[in-house]
Amino acid sequence: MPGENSFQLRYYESVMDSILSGTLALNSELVIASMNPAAEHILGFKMQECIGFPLQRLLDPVLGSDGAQRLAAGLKAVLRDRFALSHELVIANRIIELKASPLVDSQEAVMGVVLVLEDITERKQAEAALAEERNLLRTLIDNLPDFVYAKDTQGRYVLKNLADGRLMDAASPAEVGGKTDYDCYPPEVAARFAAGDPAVIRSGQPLIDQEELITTATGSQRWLLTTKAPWRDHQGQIVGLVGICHDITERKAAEEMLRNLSLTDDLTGLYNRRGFLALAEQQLKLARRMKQSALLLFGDMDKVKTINDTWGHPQGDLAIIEIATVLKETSRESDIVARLGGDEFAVLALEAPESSAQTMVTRLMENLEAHNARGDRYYKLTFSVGSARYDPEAPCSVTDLIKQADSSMYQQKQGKI
Amino acid sequence: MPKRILIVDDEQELLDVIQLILNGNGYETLTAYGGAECLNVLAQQTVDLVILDIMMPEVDGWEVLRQLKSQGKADAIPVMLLTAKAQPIDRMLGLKVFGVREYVTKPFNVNDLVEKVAQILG
Repeated sequence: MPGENSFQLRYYESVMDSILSGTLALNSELVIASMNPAAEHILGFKMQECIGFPLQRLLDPVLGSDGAQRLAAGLKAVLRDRFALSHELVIANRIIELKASPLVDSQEAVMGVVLVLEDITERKQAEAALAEERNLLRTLIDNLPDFVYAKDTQGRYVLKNLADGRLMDAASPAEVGGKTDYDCYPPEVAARFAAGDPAVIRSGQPLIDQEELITTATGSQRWLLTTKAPWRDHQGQIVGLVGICHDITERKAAEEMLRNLSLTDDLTGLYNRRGFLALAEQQLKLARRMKQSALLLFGDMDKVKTINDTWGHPQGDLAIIEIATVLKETSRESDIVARLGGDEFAVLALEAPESSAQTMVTRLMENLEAHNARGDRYYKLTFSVGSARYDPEAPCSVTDLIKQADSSMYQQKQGKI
Repeated sequence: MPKRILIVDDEQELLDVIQLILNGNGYETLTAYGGAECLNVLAQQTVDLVILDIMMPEVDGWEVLRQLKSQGKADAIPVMLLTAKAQPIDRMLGLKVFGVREYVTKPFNVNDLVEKVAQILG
């Protein structure tokens, strides 16, 4: 139908006129037979300068004779071998993507080539900017001293920085891509690394500053402070998680060292063994010079293990704190009261008329009884105690005094049974 | 005064055959062996019609048409393309882009050719 043909023709013409992609039709000698306005714009030539001219001659000054010749050779191959070709050209500082495909007639014979030209400068620039930004972030991440990684919802690594790679394995971060913890580490190590991942992904809530002790590839132990946060896509859907682990091994060691340097016991506030030995030694030297005798009480709390096992460690800790309170109430300001460790306590007092061993022990037991009488506990606090006397005429060390008091306590315990 | 026709082809045999036919029909003929020779002839002589082949080495038929167009002679000299190229895209190039009067494909029918020549030359 003539009407239909004319409609089709008008339709194609208006499409050609309005699309942003340039199109050209070349015959088998690569002479330009037809083109649209966008092609004019992209190539920078007027239509009358192009139509009827060989493409190669037209592009010669634009691409250089080598470039134009190479393109022509490619297009001849499209004609001969009937395949589609994609090629990038630079025309007037714009990056043009050229796609060529064979133009066939109604008998399926190749009669020419159709070119579609697209100005992809902006896309290329955006890609380059994106690549640059990725590179910057990658460099930043890789040079962080912290261990950084990202996993998808299936626990497969998407990213791992160099520090992380060095910590756990010799494999480069690129090699862990797509692998889970279980693919990389022994099951027990993997389980610890993956712990908490499902919760973060399910709840969308981060896990912040979890301390964990891990064994590295080289077998050394490291303390890590780990934060895991959900990773969301642009629509807010959780697509995985990111983890940052800060190595706090040095800090832990420093804390440990400080604890070792400390003279007091964290739980009770009494002197610790180290504090007691140092101060008691000083006190004994003083006593010797002043020709004054001193008393050392040594005791341990009974049944701490039972309390711990029955009521839990917090209850055991409370019991120890209470014994410490009783000991402080019983002692004078000038006495040295200490928790030597675990359930062992010691008091060193300069002897005075009102503080013989017997009176001190009696006062201690009375105070303990008063605490027990309150009845706000399921169990009674009991304390075994022994004593030793320091004679300035026959001086001995604190350690010796502790030994003597210990054996005196032992005898007292034997007596109890 | 007989009409003068320039026949351009890179096949001597074909030149001879067409010359024979046209002379027999009362036309005066000139021949050019290839595109460059064609342009030379046209620079020196006036003709009433050019019968032009397309696929010729060096200067092909398209180049001849481009030259004529750029010299402003295209409208003054009627051209008939006589070519083995039968594709629609080439027909379109010849008839629409270069405005040739006839597009005849080889192999051609002698009567047909004579008839078309007669039509052009009135």
